[in-house]
Amino acid sequence: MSSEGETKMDESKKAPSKNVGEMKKEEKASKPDKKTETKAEPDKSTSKPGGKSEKEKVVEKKIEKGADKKEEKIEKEAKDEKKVEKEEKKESKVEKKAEPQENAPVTAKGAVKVVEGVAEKLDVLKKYGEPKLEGILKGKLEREFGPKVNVSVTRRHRIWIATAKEDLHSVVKFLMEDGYDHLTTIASVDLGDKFELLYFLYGKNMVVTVRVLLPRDKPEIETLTNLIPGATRYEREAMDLMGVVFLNHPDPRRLVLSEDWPEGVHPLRKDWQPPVVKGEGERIAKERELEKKGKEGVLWK
Amino acid sequence: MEITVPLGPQHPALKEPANYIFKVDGEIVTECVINQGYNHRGIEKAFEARDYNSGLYLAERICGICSITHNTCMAQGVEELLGIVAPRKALLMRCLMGEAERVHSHLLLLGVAAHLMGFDTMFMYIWRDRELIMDILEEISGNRVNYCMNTVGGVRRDLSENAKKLIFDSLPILEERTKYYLHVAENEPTFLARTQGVGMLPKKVAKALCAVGPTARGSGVEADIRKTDPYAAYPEIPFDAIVDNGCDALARLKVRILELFESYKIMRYCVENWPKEGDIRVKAQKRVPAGEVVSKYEAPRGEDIFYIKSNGSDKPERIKVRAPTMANLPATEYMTIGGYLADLPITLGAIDPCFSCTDRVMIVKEKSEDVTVMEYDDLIRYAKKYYENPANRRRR
Repeated sequence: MSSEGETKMDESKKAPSKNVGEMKKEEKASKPDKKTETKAEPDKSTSKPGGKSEKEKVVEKKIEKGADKKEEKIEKEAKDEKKVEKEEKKESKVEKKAEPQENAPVTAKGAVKVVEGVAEKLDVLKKYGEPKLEGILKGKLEREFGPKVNVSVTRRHRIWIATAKEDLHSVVKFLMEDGYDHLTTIASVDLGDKFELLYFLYGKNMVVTVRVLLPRDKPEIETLTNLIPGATRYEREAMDLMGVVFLNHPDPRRLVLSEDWPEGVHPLRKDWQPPVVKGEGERIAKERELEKKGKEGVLWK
Repeated sequence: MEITVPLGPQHPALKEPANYIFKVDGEIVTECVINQGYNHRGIEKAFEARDYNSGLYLAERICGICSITHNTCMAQGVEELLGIVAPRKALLMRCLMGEAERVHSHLLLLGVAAHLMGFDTMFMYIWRDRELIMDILEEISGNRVNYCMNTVGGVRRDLSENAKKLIFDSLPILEERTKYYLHVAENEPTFLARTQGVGMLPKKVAKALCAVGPTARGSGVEADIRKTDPYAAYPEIPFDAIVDNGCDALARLKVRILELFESYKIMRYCVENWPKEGDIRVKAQKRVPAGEVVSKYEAPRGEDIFYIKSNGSDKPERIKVRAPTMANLPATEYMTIGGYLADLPITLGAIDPCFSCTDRVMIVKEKSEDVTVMEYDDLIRYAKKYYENPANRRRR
């Protein structure tokens, strides 16, 4: 090997190895944290300094009462959650010999649409049971973030959260502290004028998907690697294939595309067309044109 | 003095293309970087040009070992979008095939691991026994790999009496042999010396780096989709999820051996409870209503996920696949640091890396010099000609 090759490699591997090495040191230094359960924080609106009129005081009192109620609610919900978790554990033990929960009650809204004209219809909720933990998490999120998040439950174990890219970190941090700490993957979707990023978090047997929209002309978002180190490769994949830029990424090299791939060309975008290769490629390109015109000779029938 | 050791992408010691760059201080690895992407075939893009049923066959070819994994994962996602549920026979068949595949994959890895640690006798024993399960797969589906069993709405073949008999005959032999392998893994000094305390991955790190499958379960993380987010017929099947707190390569291999017993149990349950009557599939329409769905599956190597977004036509808008090896690579980089250079093969081998699954896109230019290349039309012509001869036709 020439010395050039070695130096190149040195450069290329600095960033990620640091990341892993630091983790090792940290792990040695810091003792394992105890599970920090999310406790209700006091309302900020109540602790405002400065002189206030009587009206404001009355309003304040009301808010305080509301806050008390809120805290009670939260405590109650925390109890509920533990109960439900216990129940789920019991269920999974019982499930061993029992039939699948086909006879579970059907009450919650937001089931997946059932299509007509199909032989056997499925009521998704009937198959997977009634969402319990899902509703509790929905309430928690809505109380914490209010109008910043839009939560929907499609079926048991599936929650979808839409949020703005500025709030992504706070939402993910909240979810991680609540036990949803495994990042399954990040998917990027080309919606035409926008890009969509989907972060699939996992915990308590549930898939929690956080959805963020980015403008096409400036697809930039802060990296999530400071919260979840395992996100590195998924972010690099999205950078390669969809052209989303993750700011402050520790290792923004290419992951899947080769070194001689042109800059600024991202194959998973909808407007990308494969370059025409001689021979077989020319035939495919011709058929593609025909397909656009709507004539016969379509490549995939 | 630190020396940089590059390994791959083409290297006699590697089974699949990946580039590892190690920095070593004497015998001890201080840094590790894994570069991937040498097997990227553009499958996610190719999904967008095919309808859902053709997409199933493409999903099967993401990986040669976990073919029913990706296939089933996609099929159940599309079924959820359509709002149909496959009949019980199909669900049991998916479990049966999935477990048979898990057995074949785990035995393959245990053999490779034995070979990597220089224990070639065990490698040959295990691969001999693996043929039993390959025969079962062939008897059920007609193929040794790429089984083409699933379709949207069910499966394509019923379980024959011959296959049932073969399964009942083979399972006791496999169980007996697996018991012996467990004994070897627990007591054989060669095995222990090469795996105990090698490639340590503490539970906390495994969680932070999002490890999955036997790699995570070997570090005490309870991550088994069959238990936590059950699909197909798993809610009704009794089995145990295996977790080991050893955190080393030995723990990962032991998790796999113990999982084999659970797989045999599930296979036996499926055949014993096979319904006497009933369809194997329901009819599904070609156009899928607009929507999105997350489908999960416990592959032999860990959790596999399909995100399917449909736009109301017969072709998907976007399909995102995340195969388990991709999730385990950051953990692998961590595992190698602080270990000996000589322990690298077994450390890398114990996560059971599969780069066909992990990389999925690339445009291939044809280079035909001595090889005759059959085009799509030629192949069709050949097939038609072949089946014109009555002797070649398959008897039904």
